Amino acid sequence: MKTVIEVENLVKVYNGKTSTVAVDGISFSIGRGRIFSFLGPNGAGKTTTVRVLSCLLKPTAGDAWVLGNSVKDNQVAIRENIGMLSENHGLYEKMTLEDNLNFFAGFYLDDKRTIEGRMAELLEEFNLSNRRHDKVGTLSRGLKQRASLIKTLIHDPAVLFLDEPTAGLDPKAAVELRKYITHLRDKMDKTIFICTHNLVEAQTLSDVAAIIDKGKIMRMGSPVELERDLFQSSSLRIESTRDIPVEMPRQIARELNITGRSEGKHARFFLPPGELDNLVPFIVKSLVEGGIPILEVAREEHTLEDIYLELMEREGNA
Amino acid sequence: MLRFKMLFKVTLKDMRENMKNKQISLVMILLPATFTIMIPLLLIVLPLKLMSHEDLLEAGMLVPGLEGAEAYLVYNWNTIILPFFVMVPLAITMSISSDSWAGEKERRTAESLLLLPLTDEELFLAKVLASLIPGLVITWACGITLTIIIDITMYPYLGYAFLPNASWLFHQLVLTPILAFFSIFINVWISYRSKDTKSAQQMGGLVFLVFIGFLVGGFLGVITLLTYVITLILGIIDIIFIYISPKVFSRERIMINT
Repeated sequence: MKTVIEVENLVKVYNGKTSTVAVDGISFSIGRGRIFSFLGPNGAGKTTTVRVLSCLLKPTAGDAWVLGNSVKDNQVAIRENIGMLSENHGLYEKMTLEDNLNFFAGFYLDDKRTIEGRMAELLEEFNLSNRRHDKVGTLSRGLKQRASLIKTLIHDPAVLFLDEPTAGLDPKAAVELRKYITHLRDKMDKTIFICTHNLVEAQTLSDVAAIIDKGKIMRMGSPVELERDLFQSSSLRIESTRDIPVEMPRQIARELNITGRSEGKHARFFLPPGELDNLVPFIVKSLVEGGIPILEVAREEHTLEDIYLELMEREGNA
Repeated sequence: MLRFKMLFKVTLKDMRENMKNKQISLVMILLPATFTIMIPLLLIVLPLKLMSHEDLLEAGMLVPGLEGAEAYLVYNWNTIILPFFVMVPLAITMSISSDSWAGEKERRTAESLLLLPLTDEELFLAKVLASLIPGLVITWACGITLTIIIDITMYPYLGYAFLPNASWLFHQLVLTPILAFFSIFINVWISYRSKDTKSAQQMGGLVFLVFIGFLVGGFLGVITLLTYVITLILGIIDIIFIYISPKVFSRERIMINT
């Protein structure tokens, strides 16, 4: 598979009154037609990485290549082939949607008929045909987000950077957008880099996910690989009829040298392989003795959310 | 190699946006009207109409070697009209260029603009042109209007067309572009480093020191000499700016300040 994005020991330091290391020596590569999700808390370095890859920021050390072009010296070539959806919609509010799209498309496409065709197709796809002559300032937040996505896609870029793509969208629109992102990968061979807090989104869409914190990649792989790598264990889900105090599962987990947490009326424990039969009775007994009525005990698959929370918890304990 | 066709798209977009910006439009209409119509009519034409023969004889003492209405016109031209006319290119370019980057940051569109496949030099030049073109066009239109007003109203007194003369042509064709460039470079630069238009305008107001200089020079009777000196100094500063600015301009600075 052809590598589209390659990052090698990338470092980004913001030099102000104090120096802040935003990205601390990360390396990864993304193949063509793949969806890569970058997960991490605020300030982890996700947006900085995307900004370096889209040539908005210069790397302090290391290098990165997009479609074979270095971010250090081939910025225009990179910008010609990428589309970026950022947290700000980036459209001119006093201009109509059509004027905005014409303006942005004009830097990539010469032919007016091509621009018009592409615009009509995308406006139709995102149900905005009837708003094309409206000023962007009159659109709702969700519609602006959709309009911004059209702006990102108008020049048919090979690589897409999507920063929180479904933020501000209603659930139906978010589901439709996720379908469209998958369509872009499957049918149009786009390489898509997503920054998200939305773990369900990352799980649903990603071929590869990386979890970043404090500028460093903590884990990377497909959601299945991450689970296997991180949890050589089973997940046990216990449901009660009442809320389980936060400290109780932690206390039990500490005694057994495992991880456990409370999630309202549920508790979740991560058990080492082969230990399920030995530890379940002890956990259930401890909860019952703690006054927690048990409704159901079930073994569960790990989600990307579990992986993320587990990593964050380990990092916090470290 | 600069791609003018590409960078001009940003310039045109900015010019269209500025036309819709009430604050900028107001400056572009009120200021020229004040300095090209109101001030000449109120300070030269109207008083001349009201002057008696004795007043005109007295006015002849204002400029040695000249008499009556001509002396009155030359005196007021040098001490008021010319220094105040300097305000036109300075204020118009200031109001537009202080909004150039700060406005993009304020409206949260800077990132979209920086993502365009333009080089830093092209992007910088696009912003400079978006201020320079309207600045020069409006100033020259004002210059022509002022020439017509002065000539029509003063011909009956002088018996010849006072404008254009050599110093007025120098003022329009040499000093005005130099002043416009100076104001734009200072203001684009401040706008580039500011977070919003308001703070950019507060800092950018520094260019009006040039106007103060002209005003003082006018009253001291050294306006012609001062015009040449200021043209030379600002011309050198502009050349330095033209050489340095595109090289120092960086997208990163805007992103970090946004």
